[in-house]
Amino acid sequence: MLQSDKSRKADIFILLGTLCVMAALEIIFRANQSRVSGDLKHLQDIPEISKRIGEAKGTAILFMGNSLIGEAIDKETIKAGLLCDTTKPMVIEKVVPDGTQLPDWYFIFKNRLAGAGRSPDVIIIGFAWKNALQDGGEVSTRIINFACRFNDIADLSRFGIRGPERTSEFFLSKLSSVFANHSIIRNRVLDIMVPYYREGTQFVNTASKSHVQTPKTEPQPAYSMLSRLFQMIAFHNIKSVFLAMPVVEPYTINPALIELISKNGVFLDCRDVPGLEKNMFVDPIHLGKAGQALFSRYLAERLRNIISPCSSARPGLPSAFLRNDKS
Amino acid sequence: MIFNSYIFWLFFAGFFVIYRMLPHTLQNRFLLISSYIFYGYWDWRFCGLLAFSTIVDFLVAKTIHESESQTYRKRVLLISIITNLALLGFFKYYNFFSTELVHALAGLGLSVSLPMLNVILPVGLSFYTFQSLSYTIDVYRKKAIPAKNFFDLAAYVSFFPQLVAGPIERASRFLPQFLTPRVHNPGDFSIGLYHVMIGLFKKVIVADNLAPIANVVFSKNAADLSGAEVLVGIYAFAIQIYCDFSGYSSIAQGIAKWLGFDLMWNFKMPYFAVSPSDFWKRWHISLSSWLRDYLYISLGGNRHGNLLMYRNLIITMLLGGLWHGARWTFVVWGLFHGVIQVVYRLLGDGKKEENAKPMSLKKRLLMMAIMFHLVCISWLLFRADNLPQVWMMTIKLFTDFHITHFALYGLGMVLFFSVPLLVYEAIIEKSKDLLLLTKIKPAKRAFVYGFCALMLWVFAPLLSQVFIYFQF
Repeated sequence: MLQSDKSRKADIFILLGTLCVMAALEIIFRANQSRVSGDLKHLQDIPEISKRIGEAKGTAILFMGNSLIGEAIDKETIKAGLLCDTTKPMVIEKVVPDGTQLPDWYFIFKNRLAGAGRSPDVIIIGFAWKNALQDGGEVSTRIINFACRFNDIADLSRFGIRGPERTSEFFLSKLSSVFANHSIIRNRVLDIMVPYYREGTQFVNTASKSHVQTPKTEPQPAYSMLSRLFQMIAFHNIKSVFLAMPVVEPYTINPALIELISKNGVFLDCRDVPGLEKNMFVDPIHLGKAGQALFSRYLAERLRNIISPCSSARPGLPSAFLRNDKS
Repeated sequence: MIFNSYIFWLFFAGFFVIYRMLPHTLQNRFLLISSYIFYGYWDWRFCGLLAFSTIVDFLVAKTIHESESQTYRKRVLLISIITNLALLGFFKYYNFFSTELVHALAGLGLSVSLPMLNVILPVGLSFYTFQSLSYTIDVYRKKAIPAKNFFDLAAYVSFFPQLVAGPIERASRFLPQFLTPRVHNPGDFSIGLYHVMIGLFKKVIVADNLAPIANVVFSKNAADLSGAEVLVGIYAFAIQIYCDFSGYSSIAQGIAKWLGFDLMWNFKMPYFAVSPSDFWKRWHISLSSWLRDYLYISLGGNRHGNLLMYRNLIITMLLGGLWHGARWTFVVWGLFHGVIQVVYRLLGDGKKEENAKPMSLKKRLLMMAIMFHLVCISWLLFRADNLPQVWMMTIKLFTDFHITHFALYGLGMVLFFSVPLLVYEAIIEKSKDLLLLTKIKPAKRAFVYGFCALMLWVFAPLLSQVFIYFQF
């Protein structure tokens, strides 16, 4: 056999071998991803959550956001606070994947919740900080893998998330679950192998953020993705409520954002909850058990004026918020 | 457009398909156009500078080659040297020297105001000016024949795989490769793949994962750090800079191999060096050999006795430090390397003894450890923002032995990411065959590449980092 043929065969064998290793990892990961992390399990559960909403007999309320709202809401407390008659059916669900933001919620809603049978009656989205909900955020790779379709690349491009790096990442995330979830796998392995990994990473992230220079003049915030989300919500006749969540450090909200939310839904400012103390937070943003109970009672009280099952013509919603029944 | 970006690989894939279909002359033209696109992707204005440097050196080399008069040849060579060094001086050193001059004059009671330049340093300027200079000097020394065609020389100067961070090639070795048709030997793809794979692993997995640790340690106030944290920060940076730079060189070598070019080895396991002279035969070889051939030897080298040799060594290393940038820390870094070279020479390093026994493993390991830590001290000088920071961190290093959680975390990260590479390099070092991996059985090779690919797929950090040496 010629030297060149031998060499070419070896090269092909090596490339195929490498691809096989990666394919094997992909198969193993896909088969076990819900066991890898609670967050992935939560994503895997979203179709089931959507199904439960679809089958709900009474009012269906969906809380959406990230762990900020996920940790702050106790479904039973909300339910008890909202219902005058506890025998009446009400479904409360949470879709709160970790570390997500508006672009993630947009695609989860678009492709995994809206249109999947009956939509929720009310969607309650929790957010915090000045730059929340404005354009410029990025969809996390695991949400691309879980919730996006290939043609969503056009949507992303429309909202300014474009360029060869982003596009390549989008397609790779769509094709490979391992790639899309690599940060979860990475953190899982390093958590086992490296002492004080979480603490150290937190320290590095905080230190790195403090060295990022903010531009002297900030560009005018734009909310085209949020507007598009409102259009989709309106199309499905869903009532939307946006919660400005409490966190340890106070923050401001752009008046234009409040105006946009108020025009399309309900804005609830929960930044300052009476009785909520700093010691009720387990870290700068997440509420502990006591904080969760207090916040949920407070929120239920405020939501009662908006979602009042007692005065509703149809169980679950006041007549003013009734949508056209698709059935 | 950097090697660890998707845009680069998209660019390269498109380029490669067309390149392989073209005949030799057109390959060079296409290479030239693509290299300017690659360079202009940073800032198109940089291309003008590159073209200017190339035009000057093309004309200078041609004139030198055609002239018989030694005095005239020397004068013309000076044009090239002055032009290239003026470009470097203007973009890289003007602000530094003018600030220092103002301070010095202020010390003498004279108040002078000099204008400061607000210009971006063109990426890779130090690399291509040195490569361009080597061309005219080699022609002057009659070691290289000048390119007859301007476009061939332009392709040589702007060759995109090594344009922005080397290796700094010599005209005598590299230019002929542009002038002759490409030869693709069996095994070239395999060697190229090896370089690219190892290079990406070093850069993306090792360097970029350790960068945040080094960045945090060096950005914090030294008073807030413990000695253990300083030590871990220095270790992290030592491995980061090695893997960052050697990773780049390796990818450049691999890409060049696929295009039919042989780039020189720029790194040969430098942390296994047992002495400073050994270290500089393994670290940034293209720059250290450039400085040796064009500066150290021109200064007289070791031809005029020990005292002058020590002087020449220190001057060469000092200027080598300054090559990295206009900062006192770089100057002191160069000085430190010069001094340790002299000290080692005084202790007998470099003397050839007949019937000398090979070094025992124990002694070798000890020498390696000493040399590695000396290099680490130099990295402290190199990475710190200023000399007071160096001083503060050094005090902490030797006075505060408190082991913190962050120090343990940093050490854990350093070990997790660098141990596989260390084991691999130890095997290569023992075998003395830099291409050992390309010669083992395909199944074993597939296992190693599978491991690298898996690590790249899973352990790439969330934020990729720009190559450190781009700033030089």
